[in-house]
Amino acid sequence: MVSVGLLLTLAIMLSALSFSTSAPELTVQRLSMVSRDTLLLTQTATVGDLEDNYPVLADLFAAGILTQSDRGRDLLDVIGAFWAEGNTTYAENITGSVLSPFFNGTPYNAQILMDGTQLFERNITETARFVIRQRAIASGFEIGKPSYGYISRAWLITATKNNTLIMLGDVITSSVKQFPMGNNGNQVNITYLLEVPLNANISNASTFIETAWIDNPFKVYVNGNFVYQSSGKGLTDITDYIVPGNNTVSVVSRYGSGGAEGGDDGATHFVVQYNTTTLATISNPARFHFYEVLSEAPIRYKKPIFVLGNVSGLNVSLNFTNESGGTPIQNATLNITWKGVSYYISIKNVTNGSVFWNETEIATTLAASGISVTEFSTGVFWVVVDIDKYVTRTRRDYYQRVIRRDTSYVEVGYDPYTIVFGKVDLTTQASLFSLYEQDEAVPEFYRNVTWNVSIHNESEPLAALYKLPWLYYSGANPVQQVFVNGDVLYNHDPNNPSSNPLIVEFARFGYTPVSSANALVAGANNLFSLNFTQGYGIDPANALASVTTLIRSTVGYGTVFANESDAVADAYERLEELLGPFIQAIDISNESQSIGDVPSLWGPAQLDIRIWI
Amino acid sequence: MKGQAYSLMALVIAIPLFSLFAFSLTTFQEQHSAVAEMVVIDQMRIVEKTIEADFQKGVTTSAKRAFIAITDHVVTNGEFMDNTGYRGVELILNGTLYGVPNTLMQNNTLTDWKMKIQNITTGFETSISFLTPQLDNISGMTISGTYDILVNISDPFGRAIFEKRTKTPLFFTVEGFDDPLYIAKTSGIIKRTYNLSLYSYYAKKLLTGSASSGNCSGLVTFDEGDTGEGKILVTTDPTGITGFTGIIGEGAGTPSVSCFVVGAAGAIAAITQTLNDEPYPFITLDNFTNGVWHIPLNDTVLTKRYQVGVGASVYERLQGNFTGNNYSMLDALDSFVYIPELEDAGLPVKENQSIVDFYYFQSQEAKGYHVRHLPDWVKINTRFAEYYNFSDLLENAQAVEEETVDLFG
Repeated sequence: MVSVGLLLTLAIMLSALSFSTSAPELTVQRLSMVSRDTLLLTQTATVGDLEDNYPVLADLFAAGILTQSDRGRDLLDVIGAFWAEGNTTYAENITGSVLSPFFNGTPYNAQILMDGTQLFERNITETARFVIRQRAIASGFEIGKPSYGYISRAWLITATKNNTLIMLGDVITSSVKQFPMGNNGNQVNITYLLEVPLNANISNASTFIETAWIDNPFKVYVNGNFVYQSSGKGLTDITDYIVPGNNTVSVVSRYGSGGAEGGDDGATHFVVQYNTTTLATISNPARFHFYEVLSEAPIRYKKPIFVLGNVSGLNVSLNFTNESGGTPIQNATLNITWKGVSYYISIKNVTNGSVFWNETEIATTLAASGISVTEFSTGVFWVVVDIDKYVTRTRRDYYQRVIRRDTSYVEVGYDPYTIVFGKVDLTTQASLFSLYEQDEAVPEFYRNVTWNVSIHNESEPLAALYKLPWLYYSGANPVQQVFVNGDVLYNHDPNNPSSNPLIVEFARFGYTPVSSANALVAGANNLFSLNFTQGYGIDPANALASVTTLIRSTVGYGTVFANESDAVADAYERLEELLGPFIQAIDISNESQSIGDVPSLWGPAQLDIRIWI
Repeated sequence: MKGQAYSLMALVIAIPLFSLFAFSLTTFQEQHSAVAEMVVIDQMRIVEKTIEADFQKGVTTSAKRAFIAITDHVVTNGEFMDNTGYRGVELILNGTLYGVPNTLMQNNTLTDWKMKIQNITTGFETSISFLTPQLDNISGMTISGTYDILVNISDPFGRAIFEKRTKTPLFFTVEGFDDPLYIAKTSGIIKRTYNLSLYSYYAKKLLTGSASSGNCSGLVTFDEGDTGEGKILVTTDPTGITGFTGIIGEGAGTPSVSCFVVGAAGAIAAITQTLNDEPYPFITLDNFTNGVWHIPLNDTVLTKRYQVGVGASVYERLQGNFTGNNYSMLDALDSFVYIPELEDAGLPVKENQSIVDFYYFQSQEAKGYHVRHLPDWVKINTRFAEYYNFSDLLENAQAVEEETVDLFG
């Protein structure tokens, strides 16, 4: 009995040993291996590799739902993309078709989920003794987000830009009064050239004429056609006379009721408003031409010059003709005026109707006075020439001194500001902010005037330039102050000899961000103020205050979209939003460029593989 | 006594079996523990593997976006890169370009990827680090890099630590991206995107005949019955054959067409092989060289595609260095200025300059000579043509030789 008992016990023990071969750990290990293989397949096999063996993939390629570029993507990538796009059926079909063979012929239950969305289930037993779970990280996938998408950028190629051509007069004088009194019969004829872009659509053109003396009668001709006549000054619409291309405006002034000189006091201006499809309209001339002037008396020509760029040198060329015979022009005298101080360069005899000052002699002479031409980069400098010895009252010579425009110029060496790709220049007029202290005798002139130069924060300010009709009482020594955002840019104080000198013809003032870092601030209202005392004034109604800025005309790649058309629409919208404040969207023509297949690191989602038995 | 004997025998049998059982139980317990550890380690390995696989996605996404951001910056701002590779890495890691956050990189940097992955609950503690990545332009339009990632996974119960360092390669193409050269040199008026040429050479002289007449190009046929305009027949005996734009004959007989090359031994095999190797289907008969030519340059020029060659590389173009002219390293890009495009845009055209991009846009003269059989405006300089072995196609051969000496001697 004992032996039987022992053997029975032994049998039980052996049977226990045999049960140990189906230990749960080994079951778990098997589940783990199956799940691992399933998971690794999704991350390593490309749909291109699997296409031939799985009709579900071949069908999707045939239908164009999967394309050539998808062939290199792994299974997880494709399943994840369908899932994220909401095409769960495709994700389910692929998952079921490709991964189900792992479980065929096994007693395992399985479930595959993408971030909780079930893509595959095999449920053959109600309960689970052992469960194994593996997860694959799947960056780039998130519900509702394009896994691969398009980005687009856009740029302006043509637009209708509302622009203003402003042509400013120079200070040009010649005697119309004989000594000691009375009309000498001379007529000072100045011809201005207005170069309107050939493709401009002119909406408005006007001229404001202000002669050298307030009593000068004058006549105005546009392209040879008489337009109107007045005395002293006048503002007239000349829209009907101006055409795209080159236009000439001649102003002929003469003796009035006592003023000694005819000509232009520097406040004359011509304004042509137009729209154009030429995006870059800023001009950076190397040569600043003199206007054509005809006079039968010596001429004094003061030419204000304002350049955008660093000035390195200048030369002056004058060329004359003697239209009616008689004594030719004898000589010409050159002065340069900077910040109210006049620097004498030299007097030269005119040879064969020409005279020339080269860069070296001008720079050397200025350097002797401690002036470098590089200073001229920050504001308006004046080139002043006298054609023959200048006197305000003289007899008429009965021969015409003619300054030829084409061959008479100031040539300035400077590195002009070039508009880089993606920028458009825009010149706009500043608005008048306040007026105080009206002149008692000539009420349209004021002694305290402020403009508001508003600069959009998306633009880059280049320069501000003011043309100022001025009134000066002979013999007066008034205060002359210029403020920009509180900074003093010019200050003549009659009680302070070290202050800036008095400027009689305060006809022009210009500055750049280089002149004063605080002068032109983007995204701000910049206040430009003129302050004078008794004896000087400005006519703000006929002044011109302009600011030139650069604005961007391109937008870069933006958000990733699921399809190209949405990306392009977004780019256009961003471009129009950018240009909106500046360019009238009458005829904006854009181009865009898209890049597809741009991945994103959405998520990460997780592919969850659960196997149980 | 008999019973005792049985009991003794049973004991003799049972004792070793008991010992075996006890041993088996011990072994099983050890095996039990080992299997559990193996399962844990296996799961850690899976976590590492999936991180490693996802890292590829992170790297590719981040690098591709970085490169788009760089290109976008150059072409929209006109500001060139100081060091394209360095700026690429700045974008990949920090999402900034010159310290300024870039929209394209928001939530798409490698650092973003790392933080997201480390925050995933896996049941293990995960730590990821990577060495400073590289972004190189190894050749042509390919941007590449190697990224070292170190993944450390530890079991919170201290059963195992798994650490693996992997080198992940990165490759992507810049096809479809803007070439800054054209934008910079035309103030943004002309834009061109990178598209690789379909061919491996510009022009190749396939055969030299014993006699030839006329110049013509056309699609090849080997069937004498397949007559028609624009077709070039390749045949063994060309004698008296008509009805084709041109005829190439292996024999020396004279065909009845004005354009032919005859006595070109092995023509059928050579042309068949060429058309199999290179998909450009046109063959050109050139009387000047008495030869049969294959000139895919025509397609490369007209379709505005790029060829891996001697010009400026993608990186150099992004850095504003367009000089190219690197004949010692055939790994950069050549493209050809499409003159009609410039004319249509109202841009000034350099009439006699080589249209090879880096020659055309340079300030010095690089005299171009018309390439026979291509449009009149296709002019190539001698150095370039000689390098690629098609200088015989340049018109005015005498001048070509002199210029070669003058310019590049």
